[in-house]
Amino acid sequence: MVDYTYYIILGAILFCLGLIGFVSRRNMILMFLCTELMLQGVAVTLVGFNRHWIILGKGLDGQAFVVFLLVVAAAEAALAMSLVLLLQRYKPTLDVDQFSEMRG
Amino acid sequence: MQSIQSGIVAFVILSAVGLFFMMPRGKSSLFSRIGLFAIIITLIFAGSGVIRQSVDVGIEKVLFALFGGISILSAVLMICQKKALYSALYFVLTVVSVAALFILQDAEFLGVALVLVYAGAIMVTYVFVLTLCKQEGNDDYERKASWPLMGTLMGFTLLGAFTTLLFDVTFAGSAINSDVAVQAGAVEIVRDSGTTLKMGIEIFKENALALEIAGVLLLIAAIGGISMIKQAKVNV
Repeated sequence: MVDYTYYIILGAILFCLGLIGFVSRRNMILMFLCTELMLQGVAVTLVGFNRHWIILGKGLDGQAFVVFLLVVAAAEAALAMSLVLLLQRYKPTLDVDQFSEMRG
Repeated sequence: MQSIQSGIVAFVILSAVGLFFMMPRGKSSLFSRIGLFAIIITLIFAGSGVIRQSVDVGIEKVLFALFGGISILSAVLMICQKKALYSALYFVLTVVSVAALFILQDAEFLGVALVLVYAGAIMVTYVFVLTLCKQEGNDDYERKASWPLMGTLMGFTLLGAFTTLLFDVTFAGSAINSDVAVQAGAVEIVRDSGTTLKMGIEIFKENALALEIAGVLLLIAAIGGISMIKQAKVNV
């Protein structure tokens, strides 16, 4: 039986990789994808902790949390994509540096 | 615990160097091969460390090392691609391997839900929007990562802090010695009827308010998404 510590470390690795990708890439959709990767890391951590709770006999709260995390991720993805398509009307590019100045 | 400390430091430094080499630059690909090689070596050592850590090498450890390695490798490849569509596909691979990890953790409902919702709905949305978007101007922003050194240092400092803290807190306690307790420890919550029934009870009985709020959130997101795209009619 794999100890739940390794799952938490795996979740931390995925979270930090998503953070690095979010900071160092400039494509708007790729930045959103790295946000989703961070959410995946959190989900792995939650399910890892929940395994320990199952052993202690305490229920499936962590997995319910992940279900609501999926709901929030889906809502955020839908709104983010419509925001990206809205921004396409101003400038036909996906580079966030082009949007770094406020419109007069 | 001195060997674990040095192991963590070596792991973090080697993978930081490998990731920094893999970040997209304008021109050459020799560095990215070196970086990929360094990251694969690091993952092999970490995976073998995980497999060696306990008394018996059950199949679960091998599966954890395999799927964990695939998910980390595809996440690394995802953030280092020059084309955004390839990153989306690598992210789908990450999601599928994380779903496999969930099934290893006795969360089979969540594994299937993850594949259905994430890889099936969210990633399809991303891929469609990627192909719909116009990208004029110079393509240079996709070829070079901005601030690769600072980003890598920041991320891996955070990762080193996480792993050091985790190993200090839990290995000092009794979590790692609890293999016997784990085996005897009555997984009756999930063993008799699977997770789906228990998840239904959990969501609908214990977290009913959160369920209603989630429904309202999805409704607001749908209304907001449609109302943002709808263009106002101009009366001439």
